[in-house]
Amino acid sequence: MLEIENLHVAVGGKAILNGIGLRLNAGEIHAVMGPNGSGKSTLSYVLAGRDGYEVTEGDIRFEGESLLGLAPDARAAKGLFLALQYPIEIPGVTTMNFLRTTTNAVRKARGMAELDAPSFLRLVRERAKKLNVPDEMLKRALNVGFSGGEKKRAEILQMSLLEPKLAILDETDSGLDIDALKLVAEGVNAWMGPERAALVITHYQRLLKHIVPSHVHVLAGGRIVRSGGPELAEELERVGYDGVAA
Amino acid sequence: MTRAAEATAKPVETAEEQILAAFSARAGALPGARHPAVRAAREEAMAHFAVAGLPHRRMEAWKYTDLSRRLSAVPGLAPLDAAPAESAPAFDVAGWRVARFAGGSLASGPEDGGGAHLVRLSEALDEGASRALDALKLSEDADSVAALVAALAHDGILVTVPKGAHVALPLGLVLRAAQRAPEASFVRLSVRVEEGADLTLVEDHAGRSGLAMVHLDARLEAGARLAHLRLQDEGAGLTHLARSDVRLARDAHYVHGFASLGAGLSRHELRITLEGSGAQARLLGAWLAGAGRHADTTTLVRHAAPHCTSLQTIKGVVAPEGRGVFQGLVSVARGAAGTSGHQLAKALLLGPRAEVDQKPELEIFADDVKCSHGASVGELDEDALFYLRARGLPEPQARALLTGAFLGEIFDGLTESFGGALADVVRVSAEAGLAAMTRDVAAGKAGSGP
Amino acid sequence: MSETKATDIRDQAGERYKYGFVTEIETERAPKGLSEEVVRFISAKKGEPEWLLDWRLAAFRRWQAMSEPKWARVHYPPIDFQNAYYYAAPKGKKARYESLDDVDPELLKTYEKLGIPLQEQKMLAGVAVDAVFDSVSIATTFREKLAEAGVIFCPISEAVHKCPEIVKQYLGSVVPPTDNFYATLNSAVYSDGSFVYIPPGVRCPMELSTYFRINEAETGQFERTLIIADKGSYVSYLEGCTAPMRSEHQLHAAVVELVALEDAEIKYSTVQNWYPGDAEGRGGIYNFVTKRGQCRGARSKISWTQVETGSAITWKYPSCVLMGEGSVGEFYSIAIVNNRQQADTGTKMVHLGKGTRSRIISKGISAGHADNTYRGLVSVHPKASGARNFTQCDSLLIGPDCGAHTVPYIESRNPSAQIEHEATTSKISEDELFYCMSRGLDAESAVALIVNGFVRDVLQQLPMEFAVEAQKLVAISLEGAVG
Ligand SMILES: Nc1ncnc2c1ncn2[C@@H]1O[C@H](COP(=O)(O)OP(=O)(O)OP(=O)(O)O)[C@@H](O)[C@H]1O
Ligand SMILES: [Mg+2]
Repeated sequence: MLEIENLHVAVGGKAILNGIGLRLNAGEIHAVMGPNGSGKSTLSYVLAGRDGYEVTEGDIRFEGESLLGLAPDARAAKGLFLALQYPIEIPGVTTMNFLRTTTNAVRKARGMAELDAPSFLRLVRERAKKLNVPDEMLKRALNVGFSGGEKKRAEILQMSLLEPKLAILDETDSGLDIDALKLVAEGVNAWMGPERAALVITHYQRLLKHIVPSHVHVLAGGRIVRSGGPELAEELERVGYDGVAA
Repeated sequence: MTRAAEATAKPVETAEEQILAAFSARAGALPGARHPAVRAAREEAMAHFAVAGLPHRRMEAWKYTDLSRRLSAVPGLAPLDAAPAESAPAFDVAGWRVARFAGGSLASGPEDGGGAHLVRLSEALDEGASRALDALKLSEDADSVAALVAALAHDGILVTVPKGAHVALPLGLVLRAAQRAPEASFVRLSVRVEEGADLTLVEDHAGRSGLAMVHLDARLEAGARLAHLRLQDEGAGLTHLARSDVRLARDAHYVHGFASLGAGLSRHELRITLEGSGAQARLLGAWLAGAGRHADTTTLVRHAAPHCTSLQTIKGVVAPEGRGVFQGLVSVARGAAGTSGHQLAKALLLGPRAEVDQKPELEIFADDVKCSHGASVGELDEDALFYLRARGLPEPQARALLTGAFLGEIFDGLTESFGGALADVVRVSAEAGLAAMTRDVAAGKAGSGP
Repeated sequence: MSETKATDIRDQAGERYKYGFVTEIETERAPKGLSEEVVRFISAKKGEPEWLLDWRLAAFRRWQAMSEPKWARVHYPPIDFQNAYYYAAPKGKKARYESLDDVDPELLKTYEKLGIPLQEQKMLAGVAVDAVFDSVSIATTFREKLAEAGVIFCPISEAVHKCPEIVKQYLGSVVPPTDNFYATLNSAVYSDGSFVYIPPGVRCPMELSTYFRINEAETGQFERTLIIADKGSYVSYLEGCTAPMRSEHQLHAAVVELVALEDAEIKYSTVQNWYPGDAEGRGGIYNFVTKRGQCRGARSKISWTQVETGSAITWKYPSCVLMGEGSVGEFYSIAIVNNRQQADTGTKMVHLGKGTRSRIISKGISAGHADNTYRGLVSVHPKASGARNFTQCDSLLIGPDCGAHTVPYIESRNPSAQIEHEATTSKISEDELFYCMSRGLDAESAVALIVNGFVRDVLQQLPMEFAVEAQKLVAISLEGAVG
């Protein structure tokens, strides 16, 4: 589903990713781990198509087509979703309004019928309930004044509504208490299926107990320094990044 | 003029007429007068003043400081010779270089500039030096203050910090009224900090009476750094009108710290132009307006190049019967992308018949900017006051403490930018000024205490 | 280069300004230009009493000695005040319209097209409308229903006859005829406008609204609105305005006076959508307006909400003079300029009474080559102990060629007053744009969404019926601004 080939990325002229290769098939969950500043978020932004992240070499292909040059909304329409490490606050725009506008924009781009207000409301309520997102939160401006954990749950709620094929979760577990972590994992697992795939960026083994990856990659200095199965995450937990990269 | 008109009593001369007359009488004796170019520059400056007159409140920049109303009489021009100064410098920095002015004349200059090159303006004018002549030429945005200084300055100093030089100790400019009758003095200061060079400049203004006008211009070349500290602490009989123009080239860095502790009427207008990309300006200072005094701080920061930053923090305290003015413009020219310009102005009113006028202003012609200003006006927090008194502090002390705390942020910032030795002098002077103000307030309020 | 005709202009402005049509109707006009004769002509047309004519003439004489204010940040070629008509009215059977039957069907169609049907059965329930066409009011709906509550809502030209004492007492008492160049001009030549009186203790049973339409070419509109809320009463009033697209500029110089007595509240909302001119700045309305309210009574409240999207030039500062103890003034504003529009708008909050409070929320958006200025005064007088003001002024820039300016004046002469002012200027945040786009919105929708969030605090102040319209207007005004 996703092929990353010898990807080099620079930000403001500074090289951050130095040749990343990764292949993610439908039905797979890959975890990416790595020390602070190793380039994990950078990778997620490049995949989502954020401005200012310059691909100096290599390619990213999604379902066989190159994503380079596509705007973020075009990628979202194709089925890519990024849950941000630090979700952005948008003053004045209620969460509900945001959810409806984006869901319908994506549905329209995918040639699906837009949802009318009542059916959308029903859908949101149902999904929100599963993630323990209260109605009151939906009325507030998106992410404004949300706690760290609330922001992360709102991200997963967006994911469940936009129904992407590939989800990139950038440290969605940080800031969550153990109950919220379970809810979020359940949300991801419920969404996951044989036609779907996920790239899960995390520092912690504890998330991977709930969202079980088929592959684990260690990123350091803008390169993947090791890849393996779920056991690699456990090893990391024991010996740390230095021990693994050595 | 008809006979009838001549017969009526001759009206009292306006301040403008007094100044024009004084100039005519003085022009031939001013330094550099034997050079036609110098004379022409002075005459042009005077002509500018003759047309513009004293600034008045219908001019937007002088809306709150109406000079033409407040300056009804102008004291006689200070004599051309140096005289003993009224008081000693406020700062005492071991080994620093100091130029002392009294009554507008350089009374004593340092032997050397400690790495900076110093030239006395009157000498340079007599020699007809081009740098001195330039100092008398008016820039396009010159106002009456700049014009009068150019026309009438009989002394000043020209500072150059050569390329790459680091001047270790501050350079002091101590400006005092002379120990004579009230008089009008005009001083022109000019500073060049060449590429990559670095200077700390300290202005120290004091005097009891008269009219003191000062115009300083500073040019910072690429990568230059100028830390500029200004202490102004003058008597109720003095009118202090100053203007500083600072221009910054690429990556230059300017820090301006000030304490304007008052005169009868004081105004300092600081214009900063960020002309080269990556230039940075930081302004922070405190102003006080005591009873019967009028204190005006006006800043104009122009972002003319991309990726420049400016940050201003300015706080003022007004005593009963005092009036404080703060005007601050941040302007961003078309094309100045990546600008960051922020300003915070706070004023505290200590009692009845205190007045403050604040006009922060943003003028923005580029979209890639982050600019803001915040302004607030109010009195001491009653809850905090209560809290302190409940802990046993008498009201005057509680007030003094809180007022000092209000300005604390400024002094901390000055310490950071100028070091403890210089900042402490400013802090002590400001605290003395504040103490006098709060004492008056407490005395006035004595009856209302519990 | 060839001359541009009005039709070309219409094509270029495209669908963005859908109110730009002209109603073909026979019109009666005063002689062109401004003179004592024209003032007398207008007064005679309205059958005004002697005192009002004298009042107008005094204003006119005064105006002749005045010059245009120059302090606003707007630039335009000199206006030739003699090259315009100061009175234009649809020709009708009667001098005044008694009922809708007197109104030319062409006019009724015009209002229908503007989305304001004047037949009561077709109207938004709960909104009474006064329709002002060029210089005259042509219909005021729901008058009977309002009369039952004791509310007077009628053209001001009629109020002069119906309740002369009230008009005489209040006309010019908030904005004196000598106030400023445009207000003085208005005092001399105003032709019509709305009059509202709410008796003591009455909560006006419906929203009142006036719809202003300039139709005639080379004609200025000078309406005058006077609203008096007597003790303990409440009224919510809304005005809307449109004009045809024409290649020449047209002048609109209105005066609005509000008086709130003890415990009364007036909520005044404006959706200003005068023709803004085309992309090159040809045509459009010059909107020079004086709006002021006095909170005369204790605990009274005046709240201005404005959505300014139209006009080539906007010059207006709806103000509150807070005289009554504990009175409250509010100003909520959205000002959007695009293409070559210029707006210099804001408010004055003058705190005279004890414990008076004011709140200012201003949201400016600039796009294209347009310039937007917020200019505001908060002034606290020595007697206004405990006064409070909070001001928030935000500006958003879209594109590198526009300008956004913030000019607040803060003057305090009472130590117990607390004034807080905050202002920010920036472009739309790249982070927000990316976030919205990564959720599937295209650039234009993402900007629209963010802009709506930006102005939301103000939109919320509008009566429900108009908030939706205003939101659409915001989006339309910025069309083509995002490249
Ligand atoms: N806009 C930028 N300009 C310059 N450097 C940047 C920029 N954005 C990121 N970097 C640098 O790129 C490197 C990788 O950053 P990134 O955010 O991808 O790390 P990360 O692996 O996600 O770290 P963390 O675990 O802390 O989230 C860091 O050194 C960071 O400082
Ligand atoms: Mg990260």
